Amino acid sequence: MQKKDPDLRRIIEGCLNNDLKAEQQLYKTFYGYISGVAFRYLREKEMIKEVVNDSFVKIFSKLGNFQFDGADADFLKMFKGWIGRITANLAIDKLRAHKQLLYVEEVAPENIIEMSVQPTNRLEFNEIMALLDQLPPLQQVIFNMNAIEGFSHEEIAKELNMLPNTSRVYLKRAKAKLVTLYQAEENEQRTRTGVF
Amino acid sequence: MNKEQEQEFFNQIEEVLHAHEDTYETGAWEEFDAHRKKKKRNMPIYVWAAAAAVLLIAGYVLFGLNNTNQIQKNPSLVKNDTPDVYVPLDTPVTTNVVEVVGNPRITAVVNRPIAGLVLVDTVSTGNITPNLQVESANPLVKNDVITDKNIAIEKAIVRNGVKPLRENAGAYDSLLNKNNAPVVFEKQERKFTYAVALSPSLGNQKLNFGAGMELSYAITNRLSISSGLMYTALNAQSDGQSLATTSSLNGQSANLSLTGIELPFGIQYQTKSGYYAAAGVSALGLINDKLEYSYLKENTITLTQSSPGGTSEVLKVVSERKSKESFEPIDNYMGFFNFSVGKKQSFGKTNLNIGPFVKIPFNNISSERIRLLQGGIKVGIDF
Repeated sequence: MQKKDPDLRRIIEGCLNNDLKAEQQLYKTFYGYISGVAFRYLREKEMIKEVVNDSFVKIFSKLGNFQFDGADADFLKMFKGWIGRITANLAIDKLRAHKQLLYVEEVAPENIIEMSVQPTNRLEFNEIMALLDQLPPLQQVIFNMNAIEGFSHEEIAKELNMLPNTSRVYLKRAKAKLVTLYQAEENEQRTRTGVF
Repeated sequence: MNKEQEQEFFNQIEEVLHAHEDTYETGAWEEFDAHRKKKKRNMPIYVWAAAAAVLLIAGYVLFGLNNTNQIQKNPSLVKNDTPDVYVPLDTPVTTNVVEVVGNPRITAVVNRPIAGLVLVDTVSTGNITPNLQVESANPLVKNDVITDKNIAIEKAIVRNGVKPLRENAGAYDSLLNKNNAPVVFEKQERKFTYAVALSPSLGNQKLNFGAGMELSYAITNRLSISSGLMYTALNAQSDGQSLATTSSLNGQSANLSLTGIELPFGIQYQTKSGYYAAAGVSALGLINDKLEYSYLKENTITLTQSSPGGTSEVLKVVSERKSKESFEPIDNYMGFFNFSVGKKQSFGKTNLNIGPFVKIPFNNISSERIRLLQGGIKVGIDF
């Protein structure tokens, strides 16, 4: 990934000069990442495709607004964060348009105070997605926005039309549920393999 | 369980998700680029609406000026080049007295019926109060008082048989015209004519529609040229063969929908009895276009069937009808030859035009080679 950084600056400059080849390079380089972000919010293939393309349209048009004066090592990370937030916003718009974002959720009483987890080995992408899929939709969205994309609770509240404290509560519940689910998964695996 | 462990768990999730990238889908860039160009190319409807408004207003202004010029230039209505003279007052018919009340007092005696009385120009009289009192042998106008204070009286000339043309004459004119004999205007053939037109049509198994305004200019009594602006919605269907030849999908049909603003230009010949024949060309600028393929997708499913001997699995092929939008760029402009015949039926000041028409496109459209040939009925109302 570090190898991309000098290239990325050059590609971005090319895009700002409306160089079609640079745009193609940027698209192909970050297609997979943006598609991955969209996939965390949406499940339908066609909707993901639309969000990916809408994201690139917005990225190309707003590229001049992306400013980064920090160390080169963080350039790629910052750029991915910026395009990830654009994608997340568009994905949420899409969810809202298709009324797939439920604002009222029946949350069963949970023990949200005690969390006990010790990741025994490296988590895989599919395992994480399987855990996230078990969260109620709104908790899933808030977890993704805060814990992965780095939105503040104020930003989430504005985007989802709720109070920041509501966002905090949902995040806490989401985290607690993820831990519970992970532990249950781990216990089941131990039982299956007989390793304790 | 401590905070560090919790933090490590969520850090792992964040790292894994950030590092995850889906595989690149072949052709995604090409599709994106084509779609983006298509969006850029299509001019927004407000651009067309603005252009249409400007043209219509320009046409209206031209139309209005032309009518005004016709009135002013007609020698039977105004004698601008003739020196002002008093009409001989010796014709012994009836005597009408027109008094201009003021200081000094102006009185004109006319040996003609008041019906023909006209104030063509005015005489400068200094401090004249702009009130006019008319004394007339005609009881209809006797003692009527004209109170239009906008009249600046400079010179009074009484003349018979011409309608007053002063812009500010107001009540004075209406008084003088009260029992006028009908004013004679020479009926002029209008050079410019406005028309509202509707043109539903059928082509390529689909209905089309057009509506708009037309402006025509009469070159001679029989021949006229016309132009205008029409909103046009075109639909067409083909067999979707290009999809079948470029992919493994079983193409069923291709449906094309276009909307745009059409600018026609044509020439029309009209017979004495009201029949007309017209020919011309038109340019269509697209506002929106959509080409969609319908295709059959075949899936194999396994069904478990119970029978007295046990269960058995049956494979079935299920066809599902799906549609897919094409991102193939379509030319933003297209042209047509237009031919029509019909009859103009007069209803008072308006004419109803009705007749069949045919539109022949210059070219075929898209890789489907859809030909937007149309035929329909054109209905128009001339003003």
